[in-house]
Amino acid sequence: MRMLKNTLILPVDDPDLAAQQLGAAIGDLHVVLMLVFGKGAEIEQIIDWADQLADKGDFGLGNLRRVVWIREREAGPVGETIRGIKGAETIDEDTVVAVLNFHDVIKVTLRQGDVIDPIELEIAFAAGGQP
Amino acid sequence: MRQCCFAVCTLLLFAGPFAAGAEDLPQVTFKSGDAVLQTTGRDAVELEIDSLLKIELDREALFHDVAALSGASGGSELLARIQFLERAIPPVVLAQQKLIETRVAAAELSAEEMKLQDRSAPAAQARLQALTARLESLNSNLSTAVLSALVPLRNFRTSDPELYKNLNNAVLGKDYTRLAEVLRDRIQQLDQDLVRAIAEGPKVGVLVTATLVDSTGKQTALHLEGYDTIAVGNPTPFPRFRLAPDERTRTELDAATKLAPLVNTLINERDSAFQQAVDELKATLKSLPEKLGLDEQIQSLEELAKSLEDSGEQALQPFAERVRSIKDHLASISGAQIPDSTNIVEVVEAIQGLTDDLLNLREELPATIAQLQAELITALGTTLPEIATQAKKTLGDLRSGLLANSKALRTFRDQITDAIKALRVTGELANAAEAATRRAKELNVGVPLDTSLDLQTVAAERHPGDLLHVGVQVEHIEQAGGKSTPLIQGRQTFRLEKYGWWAETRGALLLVDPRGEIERDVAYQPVPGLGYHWHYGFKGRPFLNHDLAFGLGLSLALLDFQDKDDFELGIAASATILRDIFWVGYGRNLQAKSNFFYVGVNPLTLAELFRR
Repeated sequence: MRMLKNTLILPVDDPDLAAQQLGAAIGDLHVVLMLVFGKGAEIEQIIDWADQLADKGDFGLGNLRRVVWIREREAGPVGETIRGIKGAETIDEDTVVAVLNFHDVIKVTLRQGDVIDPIELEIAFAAGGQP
Repeated sequence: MRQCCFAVCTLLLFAGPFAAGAEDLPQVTFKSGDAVLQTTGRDAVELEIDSLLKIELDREALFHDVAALSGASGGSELLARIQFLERAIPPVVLAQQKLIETRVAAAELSAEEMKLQDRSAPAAQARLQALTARLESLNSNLSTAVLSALVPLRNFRTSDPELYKNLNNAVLGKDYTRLAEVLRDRIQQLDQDLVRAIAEGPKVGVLVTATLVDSTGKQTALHLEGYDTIAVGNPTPFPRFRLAPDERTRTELDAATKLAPLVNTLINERDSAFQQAVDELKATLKSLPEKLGLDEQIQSLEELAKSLEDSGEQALQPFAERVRSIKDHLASISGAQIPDSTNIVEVVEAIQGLTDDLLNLREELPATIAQLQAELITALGTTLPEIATQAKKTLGDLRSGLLANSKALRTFRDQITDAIKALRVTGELANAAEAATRRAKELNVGVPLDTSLDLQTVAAERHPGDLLHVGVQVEHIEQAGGKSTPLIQGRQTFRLEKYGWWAETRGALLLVDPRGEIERDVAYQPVPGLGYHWHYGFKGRPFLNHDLAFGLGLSLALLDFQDKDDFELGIAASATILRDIFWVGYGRNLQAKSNFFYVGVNPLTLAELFRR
């Protein structure tokens, strides 16, 4: 995998720190946030694409797009933070990607079985960037 | 061989209507001069014997019928692709426009940062907050535009996996330029696709023939411009189908013709939203010198150079030149000419030079100034303290200002550079659409199907009453060199008419009966005769003209009323009936000086009568 510029990888060995970092990322109102859940080669590919697509939010004054990779969603504090997001009821164990808009509301989710490719991810980012 | 070929074609054409049910030719208009002839299917229509017969085919109706009969109506893969491009171009141009607007806002924000050195001041804060809010708002609009551009692309996942793969790769680029480039490449590929569609695609073959049939039944093929070739020295026309792209191919060409106007409306029109975005870009660039305070810097540098010149020290003259060189660099940015044109290529070229100057301003100028400052202070030493102070302030302020604004300058330049990329690719998109439309227009030049027949110049003897058959056959050819299927066949017959008085010379067998005293005992003597008869052609009276066909005139006959003369010539007033078959007359034997009466018959036309 290429070096990730726009992706926050949550630690798996420190749930509290992971939850804290996730909370801070969600709290940043100036970004469209893409959460990617899980592990494995397919997820890594999605992370790689999402990280590249996040470059499109860079207008030289801080990136308007960001990616968070949540490898262990079941971890207690992280799960609690996720459940606190507006629209979190759309996230379940099959969710692979969730995009939050500037107001931290989930706008798009992509699930296992959905086609997930760069175009779909860009559509998800763009949907998250809408008013 | 050619005659045989023509005969077969003619036979097929004539046999067609009767074998497969006679078909009228509603798609064909016949004109004599400019007057439209009212045709009625199989019924022969009168045609003036010396007229110019124009045969005009209604291309649209004909090709539409062919499409319906061949089942080749409806869409094609190429048409679907062109129609997709038609739909895809507006949202992609909109996305590029929103991208330019967002980049310009970001550039403006960074330029504002350069201007507001003290960012903690309340006014500066408010201004920056407003610009940041604007940037976020524009980014939201950009997202909406991107959504409308990308969602339709999903269709290609199954319909054109190769294109979808390219789009997937392109969307990963830093901005949407590569995506627009894929679209541009697709439009460029259209050029080849259209050429191939014309060369290899389905065609409609049209054949028109004309055959003159005289009163004896003799058939003569006539030359029709464009529908046959006549070999040198051989007057026989060789029939030839005219091939034209079928309706589906022409629909493809028509669709491609619409691309350029569509793109021009979106991009090049002065009051288009895209041009407004370009105007914003121009305005931001024009305001840059003021935000950087370049005019004050230029003035200070000029004053320093003048001080160095006025010092009278030869050693300081090169420094004056170096100061002016820096001043010129700033002046090139300050005085950059940005054209007021709507031509995107022109604008891009002008702005491109400016971004290069900006790069130099940030990357090289601070070091150049530092070196000049150090060397100048050393050269001045303690001899000219006032100039030394002026140099330290002018060069020092300029350098520190550039360094302080280095990040903002970089952001400004990057955003402008990216905006130019979006502008350039949109211009290329417009050029590709223009090229595709031009090509489509070139290829869509309709093969002329109309033809004409000038009866005055036909290479055949013609008489009133002769018949002219015009046959039309239309076939569909699935692909170049492929099987052709005849779909429409029909013919129209014309009867040649000469209106008013006209004369004709014919021969006959006369039975001459003397009506005076002669030496020999003669009654109804059979002799050859030659008649010169006038006929009158009535309009719309074929029975009178060609069946009764009265004639009046003079006839000559070689007679033998007396033994003493070897040559006896009879001259008589003559009348004929039934197309000069039966003759009757009364005249005088010039040598025997005796009148005579005769009845006659033309055995050839009599035989023809029975044949008919």
